[in-house]
Amino acid sequence: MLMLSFLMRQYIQYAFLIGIALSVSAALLSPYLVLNQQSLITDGLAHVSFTGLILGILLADQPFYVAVPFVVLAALIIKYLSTKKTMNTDAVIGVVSAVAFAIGLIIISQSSGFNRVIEGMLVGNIFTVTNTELIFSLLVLVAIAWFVLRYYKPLLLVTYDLEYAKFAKIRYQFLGYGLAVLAALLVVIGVRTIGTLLISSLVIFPTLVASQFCRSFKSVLLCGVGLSIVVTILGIFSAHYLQTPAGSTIVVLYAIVLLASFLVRPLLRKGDA
Amino acid sequence: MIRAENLSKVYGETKVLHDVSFLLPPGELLYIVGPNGSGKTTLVRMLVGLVKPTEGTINIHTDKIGYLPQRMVYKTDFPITVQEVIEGGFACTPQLSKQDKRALILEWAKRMEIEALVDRPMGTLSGGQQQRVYLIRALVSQPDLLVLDEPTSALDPEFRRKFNDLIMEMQHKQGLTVVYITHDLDEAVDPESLVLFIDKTVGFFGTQHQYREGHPHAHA
Repeated sequence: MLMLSFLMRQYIQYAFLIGIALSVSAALLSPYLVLNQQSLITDGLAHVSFTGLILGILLADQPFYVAVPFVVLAALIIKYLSTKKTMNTDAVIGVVSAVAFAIGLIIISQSSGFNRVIEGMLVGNIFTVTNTELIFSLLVLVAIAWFVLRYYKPLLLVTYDLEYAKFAKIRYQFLGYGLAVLAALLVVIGVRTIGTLLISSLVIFPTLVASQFCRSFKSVLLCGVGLSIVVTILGIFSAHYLQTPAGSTIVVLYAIVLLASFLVRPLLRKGDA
Repeated sequence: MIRAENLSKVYGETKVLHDVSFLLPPGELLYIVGPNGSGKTTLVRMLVGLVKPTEGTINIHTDKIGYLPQRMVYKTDFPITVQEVIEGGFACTPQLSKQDKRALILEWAKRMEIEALVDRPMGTLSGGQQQRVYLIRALVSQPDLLVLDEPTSALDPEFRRKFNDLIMEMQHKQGLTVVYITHDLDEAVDPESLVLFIDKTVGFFGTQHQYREGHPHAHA
């Protein structure tokens, strides 16, 4: 009982709520981004988000009010440019995120008092979540869950076979922009809590691990969500007791699970044969 | 019915198709033949709406089209089952119930002799088995027009014959209109089926019988 008494503290409850909301949101987007070689968009948007939040701190009471439209706009630009045949998607992500990050660093160099803010945004802090951030993360979860459930099969078709999706008159552009905007919203809230350098791992790991064992797309999606909840809860517990950053702890736990899945997978396949 | 009039396609400065016209009545089977790079695939991609002609028009009597694209190498590590792939074919007919879809999938899987593989991951299937899955995806929506781009390229000779018999049967019994790109006109069993030979433009359009009688490419 004594061990669990810390759960009565509000900041711990907020940390679990926002951690689970973020990890489930990320796991829901995960297969559509990872299996379509678009997972780096979250990494790129995290760099953009860094600048968005810096601008937000300078220009508004709530950094989100500036950061959200800033990052959503960047996501739309990345998506638009990647549909043009003049640049590869990874190059577009690299250019947009580097430019945005550079602008952020220039702003910081010309201002003062940002040192602690920068550290906080690079590694995140899930134990200092505000009411606004919690509500925003829950709204993002609802939006992502609705989008994935509503467009589950068209999204799968676009991810697996874009040519056939175009033939079947699936609104692939709408779905692509939708995913980009939702990834942007996830990243903005994730940068504050998980950290700029780590938020993309919440998107990448669930599908990487689940696809080692799962045979169908649906099971990859569901296993990814389940896995993300378990790892996030264990990660926050561990971070609290070990006094380590929660985001980093969650990522290290994911890495251990991935490594274990690589080791166990051949044994399972041997059993199948 | 497909009415194609003066179709041309230009990419940059490269003319891929020039002034292609033909009229395919409903319920007919049309084989499209021609050398590599002759524009066959561009033409069928125009028919299914994936490519817009630079000039000319296409009128098709139905919206219910089944399409098998040219064989592509898919990611073998993509976690997706045979059933999930075939369900993509219902994108144009979402009104069917889950049970009806499953029944249709199993029925077609049986006809294509892959009923035991329906719940298997696609990545574990051979190339020929995967090709059958994509054929089923093209057929489950019960199309009026079936467009096939080299459908038998990965199939073994025995199943290739069975597949061609099946297409003929569907054409004769159900009035299915079929457009079929092939490199091997020996697959065309019915002498009254139609042949369109193109090499960027129409070189021949008529029955297979006429084609074999009078066209220099027929025995090439």
